[in-house]
Amino acid sequence: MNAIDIAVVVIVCVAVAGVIGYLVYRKLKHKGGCCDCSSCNGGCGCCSADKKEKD
Amino acid sequence: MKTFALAGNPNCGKTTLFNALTGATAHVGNWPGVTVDKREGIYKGGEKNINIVDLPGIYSLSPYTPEEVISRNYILDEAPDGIINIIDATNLERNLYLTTQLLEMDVPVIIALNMMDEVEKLGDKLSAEALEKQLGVPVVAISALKNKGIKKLMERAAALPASRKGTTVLKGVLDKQIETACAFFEETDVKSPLFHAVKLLENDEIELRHNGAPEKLRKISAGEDLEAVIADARYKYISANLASAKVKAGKEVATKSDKIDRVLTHRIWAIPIFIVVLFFVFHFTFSENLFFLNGFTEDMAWMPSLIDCGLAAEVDGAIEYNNFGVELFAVIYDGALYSPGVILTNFLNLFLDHISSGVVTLMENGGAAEWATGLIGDGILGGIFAVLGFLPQILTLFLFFSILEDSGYMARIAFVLDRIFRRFGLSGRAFMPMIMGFGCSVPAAVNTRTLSDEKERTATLRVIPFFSCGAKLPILTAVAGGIVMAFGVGNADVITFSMYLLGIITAIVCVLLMRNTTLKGETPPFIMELPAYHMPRFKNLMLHLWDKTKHFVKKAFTIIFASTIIIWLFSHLSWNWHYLPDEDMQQSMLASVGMFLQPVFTPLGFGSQLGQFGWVFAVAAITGLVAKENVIATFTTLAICISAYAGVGTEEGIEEIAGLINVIMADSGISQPQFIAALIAFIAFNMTTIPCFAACATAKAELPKGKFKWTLLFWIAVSYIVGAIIYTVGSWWWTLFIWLIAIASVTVLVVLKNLGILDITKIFKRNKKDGKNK
Repeated sequence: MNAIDIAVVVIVCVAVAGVIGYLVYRKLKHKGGCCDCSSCNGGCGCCSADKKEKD
Repeated sequence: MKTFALAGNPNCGKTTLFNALTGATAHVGNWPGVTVDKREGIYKGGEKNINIVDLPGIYSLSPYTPEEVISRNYILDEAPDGIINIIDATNLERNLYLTTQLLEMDVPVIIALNMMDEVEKLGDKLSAEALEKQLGVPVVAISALKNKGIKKLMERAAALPASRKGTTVLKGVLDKQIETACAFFEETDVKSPLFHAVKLLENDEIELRHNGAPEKLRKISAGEDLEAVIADARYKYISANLASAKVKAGKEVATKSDKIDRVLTHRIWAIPIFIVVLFFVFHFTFSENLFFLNGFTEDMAWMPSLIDCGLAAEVDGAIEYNNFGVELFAVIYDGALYSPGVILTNFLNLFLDHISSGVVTLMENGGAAEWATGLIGDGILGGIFAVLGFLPQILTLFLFFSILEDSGYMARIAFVLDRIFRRFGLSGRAFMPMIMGFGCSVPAAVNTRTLSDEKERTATLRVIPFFSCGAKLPILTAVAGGIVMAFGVGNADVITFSMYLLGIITAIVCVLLMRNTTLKGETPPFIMELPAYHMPRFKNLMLHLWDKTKHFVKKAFTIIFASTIIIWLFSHLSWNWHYLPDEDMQQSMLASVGMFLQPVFTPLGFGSQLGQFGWVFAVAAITGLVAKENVIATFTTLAICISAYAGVGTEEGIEEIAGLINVIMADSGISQPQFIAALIAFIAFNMTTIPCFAACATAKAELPKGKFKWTLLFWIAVSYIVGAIIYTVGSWWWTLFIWLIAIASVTVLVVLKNLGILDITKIFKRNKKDGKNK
């Protein structure tokens, strides 16, 4: 394995961890279940994030 | 922090005012029912910050639809510090009907007379002061769109008293009954007793259910249609005392909107015009032969290709251009003039191709291992760029849809289609969520809240995924493009347009079947106010497109990114976790799973008959359940490897799909017509099957309890049957008669059951009994 191969492994692992972390964070933040409709904090009917923030 | 709620009739400009006050970019549209849930934002333009709540539009405080209930419940239960009642000044009398109800509540109210610029344009005069004097609450003239009068509105709103006693315009009408009911509610300490008293007299369903008035009070309204009496009294008061605040410039003449409507909503021509408009939208987005300038068929083609002109040459199956200038020119023209959608797509793909090949070359020159180059080039970049490459076409399509929506044309189509929809058991209102389905099934499913009837809502929600969303568009374009490129038949835009029509027809047939069997019921009446036509607003259009881009790019770099890595890894790892090069991909874990699932799709044409590489279709269909963009990401990731294995050139984009088609055809020996039918069945299957996870989660939240599992089953059954019909009829024309007999038999059974001649449940019970007796 040369330096490029190691860099590929590191970058891919970090990126995948980042994506999984983001998806988990989003799921936790939107307790009601994020429906991925892109209207976060805009009154999405599927999640309770707006209400929680207001409280 | 004070909280003010924005309340008013649908399409009076609440969300436009909300955006102007809070700086938000909430979706606005020129049709009633865009907002179906409350949303909040903060107004920071005054001395103190004010919380603003945008509510769905309502015509009265006796709601019929779920989204109207949200507005009523918010105003009554959440007790905002005040209500900003927005009134469409061009439709004063109808808008004031809600105002007279809001005034009966013990909440401070301020009235925003919106669209005053339109009133002035018509030459009419409207006195805010006269209205204020009559209503007894502040009235401010504004134009939310042009940001006029908003500061003054908020200054006066901030200065509203902390409390206000409800007043009614029903004085002199039912005084005694109102007084008795009011006294009862005052004793029971209910907030806004006057409002509840009037609602009780109206026999309002929610009022009767929640406040459970005693028998004595119920008797007040018994035997009389007081709802009609009260509505009549409100309108009489409005026309006698309030409508006079508006002075019309002259006698009523047909407006520009009326004149346009004479053509666009014509009894006979409206639908043909709509089909032509839709065709041109698709033509400008997908056509590789703009205005059919190069003829309708290949025999009629007369435009020379760049190879014919000596500006490019074919080397190892790939086209090489003489210089970058020619390559750039090929974005617009190569043997035919492309449509704007295709030009933008070609341009982005040219850019992405250079990035992809640049990265791979750099890695190869740096001595990177084959797996590292494969993972980055074929896996990550191949998958993500394949999906991102379709973004320009998606944006072009939605630009046209946004123009049609913002101009007010889409609302007309709902009205025009009501006549046809009614025959299938739906009202015209169901059209708006359906058309939203072309964008994304998630907001479309949420928008079904505008439908008052539960069965109609369930039926509409179930067919929304058949209206191909933006994420399914790459499947359509890539496979249709692949068919044209590999077999040299048809036009990609005609295939794409036909597939969209197929989705619509499938939806109609399914609704017809559901409304005559499991979801039988009356079709509710459809009344919709047609908004005035206006020029689409540039800012609105750009906001729609920005939302779409943001959503698509975010998805590409999260879900699609993770999926392509997983797909590439499992297609290059054996069961004992050893790395497999492209040529050994058939021994990979993914290939084994794909081959195991492959026979399931044999009746649909993309199963066992596609030979050793056919598993790619099975895997693509399954990964599409996470996000539909995954179908093409999977396809391209695996196509590059399979093409390399088969020794075929590895071109980027649609060429990859065409390459895969050629490899499979040569390997499996499947005939051309059968393969074309199988590919179209593959598109149809993906269009009508279970939508992505996000859409499923929303459907589950919006459907009545217990209906979701049946809905999943419905999607699987429909996609399987539609795919099987296309494949079998496309391969063996005579099977059409078998399908027709099957459809006729089902129709006869349904008709007999509905006529009461056939009772299936009795037959089942009898069979069960017979079995027991034996």
